[in-house]
Amino acid sequence: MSNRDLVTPGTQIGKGNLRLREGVFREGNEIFSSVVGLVDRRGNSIRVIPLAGAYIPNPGDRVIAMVTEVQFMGWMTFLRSPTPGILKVGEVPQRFDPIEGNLVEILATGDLIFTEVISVNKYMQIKLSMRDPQLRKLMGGRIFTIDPVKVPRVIGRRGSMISMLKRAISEEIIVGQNGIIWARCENIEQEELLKRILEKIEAESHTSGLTNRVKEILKEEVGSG
Amino acid sequence: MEVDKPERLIVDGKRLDGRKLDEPRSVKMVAGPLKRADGSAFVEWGKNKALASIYGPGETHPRHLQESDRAILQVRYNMASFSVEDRKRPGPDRRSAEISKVTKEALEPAVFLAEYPRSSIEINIEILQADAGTRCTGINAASLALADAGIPMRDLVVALAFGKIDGEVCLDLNKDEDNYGEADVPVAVMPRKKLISLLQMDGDLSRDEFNKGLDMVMDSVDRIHQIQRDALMEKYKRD
Repeated sequence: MSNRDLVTPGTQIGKGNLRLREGVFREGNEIFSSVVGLVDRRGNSIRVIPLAGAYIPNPGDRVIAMVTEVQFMGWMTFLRSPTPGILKVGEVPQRFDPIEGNLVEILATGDLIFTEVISVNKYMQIKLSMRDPQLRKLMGGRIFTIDPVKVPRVIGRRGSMISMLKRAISEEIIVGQNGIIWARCENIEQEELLKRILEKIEAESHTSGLTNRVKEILKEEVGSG
Repeated sequence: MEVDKPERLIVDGKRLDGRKLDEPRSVKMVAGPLKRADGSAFVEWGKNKALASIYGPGETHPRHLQESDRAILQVRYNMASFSVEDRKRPGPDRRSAEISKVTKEALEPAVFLAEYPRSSIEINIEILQADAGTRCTGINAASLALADAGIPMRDLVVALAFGKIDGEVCLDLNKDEDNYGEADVPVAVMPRKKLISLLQMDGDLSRDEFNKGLDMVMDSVDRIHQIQRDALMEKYKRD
């Protein structure tokens, strides 16, 4: 098995003392792929880069979530994971008076937020925080959804793809690790251009040279990239 | 249209459709034909046609089915009313409830359920055309759809039946053979270690006949497995 080979669940991809990362499992001395994806072996570690799959939250992920329910001391949110995310009132920057205040004034059902996963326990209870000043409620703009496993391609190596999109289309683009992308553009043409590019990235995520092809489109459409 | 029982089901060592005794029907598989579902698969197995879709892992409904340490599979096997010669009354019935249950149990050992605590993976299997062996066709489609959805699995699941017609053990019965044969044994196998996850038997077989049939299944499993893998590979080479 060599690097970038396409494998299916149950294919043996190595053996011995390798460090296991995502998409792989061990049985005895042998290591197998657990998903459809591309083998990626670096030094002493091995993983299979998945080509499909749901969003599984990890602490530190910055995601875009929607408030689904306002509760007694916090909010329930939907972030495309198997279980809902919980945002407690102590994790938002606003001061809240439990007697006088009303949670709906801070966040209401249907609001979109840019938030961070702070912990996920073994029952997959997800705690969120908005304390960092970059995290905020999202107003206006438009959202796009892509396959969560393809988020790394939208960001690109060291952010090359996303910084190119920001330069060419709009400074206000936020990519959530859960595959929800928020953008506020100047006009609808730019929104549609962004949508087309995201669809292209999603369809061609497993091929190489993608950043250059996107660059070509941007050059054609807006003359920069 | 009711066909009378053919006098013999095996003539000169060949079956009525020209197959050898240990030859499965022709199989065609497509991974990911449905764009809206998280994962999907279409399988043509002789005249059987099955479409499987996956949604999830997502929240479990109804809530009391939720398991705190693992995901559950919710399988719904359904036959379209136009899938058989006499129109099937639509909706769930005793037979589809049973097949949903055995399909769920055939797939469970292959999936890493503990990776998604409290959640549920919804599997829908729609039989568009039936010609005996739809539960096997459905399991093949569902396992392919699970892999297409990116759900971590130990192995794919391959299902294949053997049976007995005219006193001879043979592989993968079609409708006439199933109706007028003596036994039908669907088997689901995880091919890597040849572990069996489904085994049902309708009819009578001696111990020797049973072993002979099971050997036939095990000999063909790798070929079906390869078709499943090719279907998954094809999806990413296509675009």
